Amino acid sequence: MQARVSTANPRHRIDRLIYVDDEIYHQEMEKIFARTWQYVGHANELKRPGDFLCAAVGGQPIVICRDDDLALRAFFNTCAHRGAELTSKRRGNVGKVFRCMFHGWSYDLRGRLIGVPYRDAYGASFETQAHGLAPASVQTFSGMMFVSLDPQVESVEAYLGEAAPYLKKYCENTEVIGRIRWIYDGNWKLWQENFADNYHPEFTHRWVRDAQWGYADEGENRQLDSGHGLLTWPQKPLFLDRLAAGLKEASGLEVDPSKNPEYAFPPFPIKEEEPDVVLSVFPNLDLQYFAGGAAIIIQIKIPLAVDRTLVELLSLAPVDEAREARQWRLERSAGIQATSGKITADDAEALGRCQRGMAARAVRWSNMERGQEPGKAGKTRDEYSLRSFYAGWEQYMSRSAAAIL
Amino acid sequence: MSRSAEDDRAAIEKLMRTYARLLDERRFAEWIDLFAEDGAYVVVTYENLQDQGLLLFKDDGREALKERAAFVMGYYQFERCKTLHVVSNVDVATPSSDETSSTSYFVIYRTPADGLPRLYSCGEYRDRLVRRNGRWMFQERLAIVDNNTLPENFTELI
Repeated sequence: MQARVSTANPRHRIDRLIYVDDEIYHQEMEKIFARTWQYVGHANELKRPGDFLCAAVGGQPIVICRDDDLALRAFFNTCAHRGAELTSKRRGNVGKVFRCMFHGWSYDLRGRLIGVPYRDAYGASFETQAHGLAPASVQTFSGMMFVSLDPQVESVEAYLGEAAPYLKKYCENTEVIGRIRWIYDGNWKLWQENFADNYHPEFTHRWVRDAQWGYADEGENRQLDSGHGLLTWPQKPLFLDRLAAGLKEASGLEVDPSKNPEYAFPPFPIKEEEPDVVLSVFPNLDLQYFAGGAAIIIQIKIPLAVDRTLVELLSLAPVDEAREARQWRLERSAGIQATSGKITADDAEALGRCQRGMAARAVRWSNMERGQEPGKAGKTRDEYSLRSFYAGWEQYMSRSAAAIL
Repeated sequence: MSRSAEDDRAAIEKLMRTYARLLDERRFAEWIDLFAEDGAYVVVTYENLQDQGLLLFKDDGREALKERAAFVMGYYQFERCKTLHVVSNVDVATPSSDETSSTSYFVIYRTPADGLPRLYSCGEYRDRLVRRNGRWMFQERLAIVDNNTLPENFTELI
């Protein structure tokens, strides 16, 4: 296969075809999304036998449930008979069986076929064991549930590699307090790149330019193993006076952000010495940890087509948090996020422009050369983290498709 | 002449129509004045309201409302689109002195650059209203959007 990315020094070029070509997209579904571990939710979202949630992994419908022994199980969400989804609800409790609404076939929580209406029509040789639900792999790490479609995949902890300690530190003992979803007309990789990119924020986001003035002057951009990446920078107080000046220049309005409760300290202690962190986990997960734990956000990019992506954001909170703190998080944690947010709305604009701009096929290559020193880490605005993602991409795309497809 | 409950109801319904028109005419600075000084504008998805209550955002008080207006008046680096807010099914509770509550439906269309109007969002407003200095205004407007999925741009005010 022709090289699409060049991650060898000194030229780091990305072939823009990878954002617009249907054939490459389908290969990504087979070679990346069917081979890797995908986060689908927190294990503590499924508590009792029969609790389930659904996810799309590489475009394939998966249902994850707790069985009667409280073990986690993952199955392809398709009846063995004629293919109907066993559940069209995103989450719930199925009781003791999955019963298909089409012809009434029933499966227990371990995926075994236990009920076939009017079974005698199949003759004596019909074997229920041959018609169970097709399993997928599910493993947890630090309370996070991951699914893989590849029966040969390494353990999730081995897969997470150098990203594992960060997920453990920031996600262990958390629970999901809500989800927000949006669709944008662009390739999934654009959104994943955006959270391995600390060069854009002060330009794309006026709020960052002003309220987080100079935030990227210190900090680090780091390549982790296996396509993962890490952005860190020192946590700093907000420059509300600069924000006021920026708002006035853009709108003419005199605003006093110091009187906006959004910028007040949260009603729980924040760890001021902790850096702000954005961790990207190959292929499609990122974790944002800001302001000493005031915000803990996960994003999953779910490809729908080569130029259409669903992003699911999860806001996390410490388990057993005090009521006042939890209420604050419910009110405040998503304000800068999502396509309604003060920061992320700009990302949707920028990435939409990229996808539309890349219809110009005569311009073939994108540049990801920032940070010319050899090694794995550099300054905040460098691109070791982006090149890490593409090293992972190239590694998976050069292998064969997953055996199950 | 003393004010009747019907007068109050008519004034509140006019407030609802004014809210929609000010947004569609991009008169955002005047939109702020429809809220009480300590008024709040809150947006949540129906799904999250049924779950644990994670908000999209909460603008609490005049300075927060002004900041929201400033974003759509030029702080965002992209243009506004034409919007059309349709408000219906307005139910106003009988005002008791200077306070009351109301619910109504909204359906909002947005016409982007390609010129084709599209449904942007729909849902319900749940309002707490106060009358100060003879004028009814929003103490809190909670907009519950039916969206379980937001569009690529969800910055037009609901």
